[in-house]
Amino acid sequence: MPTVHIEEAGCRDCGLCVEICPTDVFEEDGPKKLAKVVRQDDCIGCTSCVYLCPSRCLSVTDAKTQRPFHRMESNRALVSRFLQQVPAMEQLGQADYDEALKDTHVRLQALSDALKEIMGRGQRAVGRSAGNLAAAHMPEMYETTELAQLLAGLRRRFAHAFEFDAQLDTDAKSATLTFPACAMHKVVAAQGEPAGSANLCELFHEYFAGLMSAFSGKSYTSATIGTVGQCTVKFQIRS
Amino acid sequence: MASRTEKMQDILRGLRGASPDIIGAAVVSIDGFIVASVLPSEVDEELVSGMAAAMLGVGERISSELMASTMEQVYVRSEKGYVVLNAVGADSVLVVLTTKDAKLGLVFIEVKRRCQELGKAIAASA
Repeated sequence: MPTVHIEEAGCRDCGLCVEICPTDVFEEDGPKKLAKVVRQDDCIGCTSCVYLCPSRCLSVTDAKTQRPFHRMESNRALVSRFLQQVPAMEQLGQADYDEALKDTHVRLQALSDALKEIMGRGQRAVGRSAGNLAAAHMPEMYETTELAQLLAGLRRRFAHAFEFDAQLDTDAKSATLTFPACAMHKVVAAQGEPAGSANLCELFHEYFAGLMSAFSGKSYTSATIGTVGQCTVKFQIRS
Repeated sequence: MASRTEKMQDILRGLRGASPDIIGAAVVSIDGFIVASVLPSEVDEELVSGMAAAMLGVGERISSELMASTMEQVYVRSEKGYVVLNAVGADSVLVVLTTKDAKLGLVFIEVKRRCQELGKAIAASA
């Protein structure tokens, strides 16, 4: 029988699991409205909650023999009714995804250009602040403050979007990261800008410094030191 | 010998002590880091430093676009008081919080004097 576990420290009371669960296994509990498992026996092991949880604090064990509820053909109609729409995947083709990606590129580029135009040098603080705020969505990354482990964790966490090689300085307090392949490079290349030194890249480097600062409890800042073919960025604790 | 931060902290304490209407002050780098601070304990320093750096950036842009000049000062008036931001050197800003009863002219004079001292402290350590 499937068993649902909630890592309480990670729950951010978003309520998505309570909304999505087809068998109402969860309820919001207490003044903080944290999710709580109240009908364990009703779990059908669809794992929708696991996929949906932005904090990744939900797990379902002993669900191996269950096929995902929402992917079973016989449940399609029910899932559609819950979602009140035909799943987006069925409506969109590859051309739509390509177009959506292009739109996202343009929006990102426009957003970073607007920040630069309005805030000038002040945009770096905004980039880092964004990293600080985004860190709250990755509670699992708070497990270590040691730089080498932290970077290893970040490499795993962002493997779907970019890769990087890290070289720690001798004092193990700063690190030089090389990004040979990064989703952001495609965005800036589409706009004819050089990877690494483009404004969007600079913003992202500070965003990454913000993440490192939040997870380590130290104040990291970024300095782009190389942009030929790939980004090389030094992250160091601000003295 | 006092470190740069200690020197700046002393200057900020002097600024705060100059008038009971000055309730706090901080020096923030353009990167949004607190360099020295005598802000009230209930103020979130990280948030203030980020906002001050952003404000400094916006101030610089407005000055250069509309007046083709460098920014010197930004001030915000609210129902409860004022926030004065004054550039210190090329890469920092002094943030001063005052009550609504503060005599702004006096505050500006004090801010100008302390900015010169802060600028010297920064230059000496560069």
